[in-house]
Amino acid sequence: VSASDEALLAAMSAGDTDAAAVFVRRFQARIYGLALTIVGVAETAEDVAQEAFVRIWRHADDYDPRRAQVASWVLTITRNLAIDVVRVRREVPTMPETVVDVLTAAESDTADIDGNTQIRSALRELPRDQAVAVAMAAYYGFTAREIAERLSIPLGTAKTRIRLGMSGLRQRLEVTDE
Amino acid sequence: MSEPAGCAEVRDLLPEFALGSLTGHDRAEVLRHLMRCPSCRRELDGLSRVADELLLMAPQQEPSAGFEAAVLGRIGLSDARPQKPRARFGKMLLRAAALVLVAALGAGAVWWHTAGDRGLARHYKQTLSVADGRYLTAVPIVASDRDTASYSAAGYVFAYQGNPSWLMVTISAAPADGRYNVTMVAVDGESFTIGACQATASSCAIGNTVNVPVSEIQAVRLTQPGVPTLIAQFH
Repeated sequence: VSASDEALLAAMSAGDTDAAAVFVRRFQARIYGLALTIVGVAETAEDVAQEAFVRIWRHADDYDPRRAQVASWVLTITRNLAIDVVRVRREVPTMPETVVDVLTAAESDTADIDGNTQIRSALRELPRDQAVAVAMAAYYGFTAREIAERLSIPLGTAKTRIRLGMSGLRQRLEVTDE
Repeated sequence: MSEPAGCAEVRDLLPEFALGSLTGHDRAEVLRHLMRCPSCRRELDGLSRVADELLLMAPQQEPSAGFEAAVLGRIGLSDARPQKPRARFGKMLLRAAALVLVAALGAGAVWWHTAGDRGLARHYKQTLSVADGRYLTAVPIVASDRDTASYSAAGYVFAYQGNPSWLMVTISAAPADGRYNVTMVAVDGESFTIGACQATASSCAIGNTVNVPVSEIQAVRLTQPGVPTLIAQFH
């Protein structure tokens, strides 16, 4: 029986080398994959991923299982670090408008073994303009104003696309939960 | 003073808040409202689940061999040296900060963007030598009440160790506009006023020389009544 994510995190935080190694192996493909999706450069993505593990280890005591799964918590930390790097550089290495295509493309790869099929289908079913806006905010931390500027659309339209997109995804996920 | 935001206004902003892309005044308003509104907190829970699922969709990819050893080495849980030592995150931010700095000084930003790492290192060294500098560092500025899970930097403090040493405080996502008093606290506890940073559209910048070595700076604090204190923690 493999240890739970929470147990591994706690053991790593307490200095357990074996637990730390298992934790890193369990999450490295997700963390590095997310970093690479955002920063677009392998070497930079590895730096971000390494730093993410250091932060996870350092802040393990702050993790609250009532608020998020371990996977979501570690990916949020990774995303924020990657966004910081992109913002300090003031350049977005990949086309943020196309990140939605990367997310909806995978069908039968390892990602879907973890049950991401529902959200992937939900994102595919969404009107494309809404999916693009939601993915830009989720992955690059773009504000509605930044999305409006990049897509040359009014601010109100960007806000509406994000709002409708999130609400559409939520409804689809809740329907499939029932 | 504007009226406190009501449920209807906050519900409009919650999708962006859940996605972690809301900044400045709007973010501060939402946080204030959530503290006293259980109904909007429940709404946020539902949206946050969607935001979490979106990040879980990122394609997985294995890093290069030696990654695990490098991570364990960095957190001090391995005797083995990393098989492939890599530049630390701080150094990477430093390189990025050097780019921003030089671009800000107007010294050929386009040329810098296309320079290779070796050229970058050479010119970074030259930039430092202009004022007898030894190093430049960048520390993120975060709200003191920040929640790790929704963390994103409000800005950066760039600190230059040289003759003279100086600090450059840049804010691009202030929780509220207005006048921030900027103070530097040394490791011995003594405080020094750096100046005031007037934020408009969530942004401001201020620079000043400091008489304390950068290695002895404990933190830089930005304060404004009624707004969470912003801190760049050096030590």
